[in-house]
Amino acid sequence: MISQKFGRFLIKEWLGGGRFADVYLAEDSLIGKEFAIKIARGGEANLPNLIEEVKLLSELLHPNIVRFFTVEKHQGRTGIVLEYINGPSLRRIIKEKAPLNIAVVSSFLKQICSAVDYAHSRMILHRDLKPENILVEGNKLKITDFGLAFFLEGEMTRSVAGTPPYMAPEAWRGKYYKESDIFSMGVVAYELLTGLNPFFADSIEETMRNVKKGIRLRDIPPYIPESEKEAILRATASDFRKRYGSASEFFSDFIKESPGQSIITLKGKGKKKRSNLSEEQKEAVSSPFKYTLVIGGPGTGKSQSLIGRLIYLIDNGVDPEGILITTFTNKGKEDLEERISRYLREDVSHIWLGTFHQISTKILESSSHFIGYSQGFSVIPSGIAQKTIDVILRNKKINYPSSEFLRLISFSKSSLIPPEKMEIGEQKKKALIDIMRAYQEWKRQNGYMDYDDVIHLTYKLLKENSLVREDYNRLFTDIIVDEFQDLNKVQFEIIKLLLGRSGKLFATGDDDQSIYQWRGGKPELVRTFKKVFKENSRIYYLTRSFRLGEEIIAPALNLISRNRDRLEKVMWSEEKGGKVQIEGLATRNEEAEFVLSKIASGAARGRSFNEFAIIARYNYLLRNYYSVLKQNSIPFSVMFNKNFMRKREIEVLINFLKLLSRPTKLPFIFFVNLGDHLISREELKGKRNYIELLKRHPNKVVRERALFLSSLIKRASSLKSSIALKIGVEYTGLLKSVPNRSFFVKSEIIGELMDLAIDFDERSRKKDIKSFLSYIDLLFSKGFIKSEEGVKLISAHSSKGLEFPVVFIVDAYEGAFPAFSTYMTRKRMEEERRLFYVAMTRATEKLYIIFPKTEKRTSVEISRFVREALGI
Amino acid sequence: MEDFDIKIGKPSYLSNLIIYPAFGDENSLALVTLEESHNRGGTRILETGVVEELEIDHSDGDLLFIHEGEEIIGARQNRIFATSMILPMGRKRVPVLCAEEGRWKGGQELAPSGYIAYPRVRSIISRTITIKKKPSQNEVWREIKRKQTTMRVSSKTRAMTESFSAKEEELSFYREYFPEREQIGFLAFTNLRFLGGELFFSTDFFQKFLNKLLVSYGLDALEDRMREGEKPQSRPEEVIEAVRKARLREAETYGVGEEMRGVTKKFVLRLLLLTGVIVHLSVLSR
Repeated sequence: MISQKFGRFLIKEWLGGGRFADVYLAEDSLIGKEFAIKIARGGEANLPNLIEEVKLLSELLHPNIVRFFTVEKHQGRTGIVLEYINGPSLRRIIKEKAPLNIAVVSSFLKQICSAVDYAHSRMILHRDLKPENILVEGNKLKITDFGLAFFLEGEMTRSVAGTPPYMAPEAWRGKYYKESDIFSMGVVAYELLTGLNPFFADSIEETMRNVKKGIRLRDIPPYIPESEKEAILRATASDFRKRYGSASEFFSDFIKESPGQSIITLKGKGKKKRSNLSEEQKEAVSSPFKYTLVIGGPGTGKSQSLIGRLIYLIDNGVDPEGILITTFTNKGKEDLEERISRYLREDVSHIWLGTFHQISTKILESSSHFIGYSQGFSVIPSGIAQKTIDVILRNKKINYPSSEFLRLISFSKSSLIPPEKMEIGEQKKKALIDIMRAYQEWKRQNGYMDYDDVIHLTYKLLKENSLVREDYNRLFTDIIVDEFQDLNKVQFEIIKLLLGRSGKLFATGDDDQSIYQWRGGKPELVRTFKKVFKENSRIYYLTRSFRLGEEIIAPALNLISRNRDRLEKVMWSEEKGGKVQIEGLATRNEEAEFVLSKIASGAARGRSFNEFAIIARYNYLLRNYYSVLKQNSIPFSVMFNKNFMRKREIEVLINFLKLLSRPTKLPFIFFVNLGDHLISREELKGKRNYIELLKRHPNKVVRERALFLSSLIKRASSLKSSIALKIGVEYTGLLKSVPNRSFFVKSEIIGELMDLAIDFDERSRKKDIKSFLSYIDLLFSKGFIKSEEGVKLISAHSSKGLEFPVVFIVDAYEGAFPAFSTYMTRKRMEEERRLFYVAMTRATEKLYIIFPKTEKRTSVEISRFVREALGI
Repeated sequence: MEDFDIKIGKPSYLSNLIIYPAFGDENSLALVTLEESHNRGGTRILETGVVEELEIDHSDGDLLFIHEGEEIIGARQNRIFATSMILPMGRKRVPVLCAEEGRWKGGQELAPSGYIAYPRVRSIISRTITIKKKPSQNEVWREIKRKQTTMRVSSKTRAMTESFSAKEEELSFYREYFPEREQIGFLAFTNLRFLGGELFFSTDFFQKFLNKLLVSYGLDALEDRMREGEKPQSRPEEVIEAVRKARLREAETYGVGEEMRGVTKKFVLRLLLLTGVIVHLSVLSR
């Protein structure tokens, strides 16, 4: 026990502690200055020796070493008075931010190495270097506890000092050299780069075994550049004689190639050829061909090749401002931006990098006057677009849902098929032409563009205006395209126009990972690349997966090879590992319990919760999991699809619930009309008793509907939200009346909302409609629930581009994955298979595929994809 | 509770567990603890066939005091007492919670384990028993499981007692507390939060529970010790003020005396009175 006064020091706060000592913030009552006091937990330390040692240590004056001042003795305890650092330990930084980018790690390591070298030059070893003993104040690192491990751990452990997962093999035998500190630094560097300790295990014996085995090359993630890998391997070599002789030597090897230096350096530049790219990546990156396509499966390093290409171009004298890089998603853009700036060590805003929408907007901003937008333009959200079409439809007295026309207009623009040539009924075609013209005119007059216009008008501008086009042809010498398989027709045409005659194309893609065909994605662009770019073109294949173990590659390839429309590929891995486990559980609840138990046991063995992902075909299938994880206090993040609330069916049903909970005139008229144009707003203008009037309306249908709705409104407060929804589905005939949308798609969307309502009714104290409406409002306005830390709950679509050591694909049964809606055509089933393939290949170490044997008391069948993957 | 008169002393530091001593009036009551009585054969704790009830067969002359959260082990599953109580001689069925989710077999008799449930578990019991009139068994099981996962304790039957025994060595440092003269209770904070406080009617009686309470609080402190983060928001003065202002309601009492309970935004309070004297007061972080 430490009372508030420790000698002349007033204890103010506990700052931290290890197994053998605690550190307190204390104020020196004589001079009023704050210090940190480290107090051994055991009894009296070997005081005379300690004082002698502290005399030596107090002479350690280095900007990255916490200063020793004196020793204080109080009530049989010994306290070492140290400089107080007001900042977290490196452990907290690792916990919150690791893996850190290489530039930051280099900056940290530089300071650590400088301090360690300085101490070693004075013959002082640290003996317990670990993140807890490195404090961070702003950007400055300070190492604490130099030479103290020996004293603080007392006689009992005098022969062995240190913290097991950071201790060199010789330290386990009680022998310490300066190379032992370098070993610990290697472990710290590994942890900064990966967020994981390479040796950590449940028991001390296992930790010792891991330390003896040492770090193997395959333990280091492939994204870490070669120089860092090699430096870490040498620093942590089991034999101390094979390690670096000094910390500075370690650091100079560590930063040999990055950051600030190219990740690839090719012949002809007078430098040694050395890089962190594989041979096949290097070959692709340095392709001399005008049109290059790099095809590779999951984890084969396509993005790395893409960055490699950029750096190769810059190294070869290409002006970065003449390089255009397109990505499919904003997330992809941000990832690339971060990685490129990390490698180039500079701001990358001068490079044309963005999604198609971002690039197109940038082009239009300077040239929109050429296409009739003389005052510039603003982009309208899809909600306004739909409302505008509603108005046009009303004015033209056309009885079709606006969402359907919006979809057709969008399809026409993205596929470059004019409405005249679309394969739809003549009457509908005529209406579409009419509406499209009116809609375009309205936008042009008001200076608006919708989301599709941005791309379509860029295409039009480049196609029709040779001056603008040639300007960009001169600007862009090289165009780099990520996720080539996801381009739609108009995006591909824009690329060709921007390339002109002399531009070079470098694209990466994988037709097996094309999961956006329903949005217009054209995986056939990958297959027909050589046909389109006949001359001076080349396809390179990346075959080695750095992410997946062989055990996962084999079933994944089994599965995807069932697709007919695909390019045959080879994929292999040097990693022998990876495990696939298939589990059939009795119910979905048992499924969730199984996942939970695996996560808990994994966590107990030292895995971080961030290492787990639960992937389902649809978001709603994951809700079961977030309640189970929440109950067990396991951190998780879940992503909702914000577009869900914008779906036509959902909008109608939510408006129906709103009408029941708070009736107002316009929605009432809408639900009496139900698209039949039986009554108009004008008819009831200024009439407050509109419900009564409609109940006596001469039209029988209006009368009946008004009577039904008014009686329902009266009962609304006693209705459960799920019951009200069921009535809504029946009343609106939603499952019958939305044209051109398959029954299954609609029923899945409506089912998702219905599940939310049932779940809400089961869990909530208030089950009324109003409470349900505010609940879903909250749910979907947030998008993400909880922090981004913890177990990831994601839909298969959102999982693309991510990777996790442990993945659970849940609800792998017929009807859920593959979804019913994909049974109709081979094309859709093939896309669904690609989706399952994408989900499978997110796992780097362990993949669980799980399915319930019954769902809603009906027995279900294991997904055909599981059978195909296993060859059964 | 506006006349609640208590003084808080200067803190002592047991690593990240900060103990503020509490001083108040010394009273004299002839109470025997469960462990004392059980050790001398004056009390037996028996199964009733119902998980949430045990029978106390108390044949000692003295009034028997049972501390809320006190753990008894054996029989079909280990249990913890749902509430503090004072029992006269005789047989009495009292409310308990299961503290071992994975065991359903065993004998008929139980014995004190020497541990008191850690503050997080006690807070769950107090909160749910106050608000819902019935303690939540599921929440208690979940908390025990959560603690074991977080602290990497392996227990085949998810027994709370194993959380203590597995961490015996680390917890020993928290026992190194020397009470001050006339100290009858304490308020305890960790580096991250207010854990709770206890108050008894006399110095002697407080000291009978001190070691057990330090270990109990230590288990929560040990978990917080692994974390760096924001400092605790509440101060001792705030806790005392909350106790003074708390609206306590009379609750069902098992045995003699009166039990009062209350829940505020931040705290859960329980008070056991005998002839107007505070026998035991607990205030836990909600």
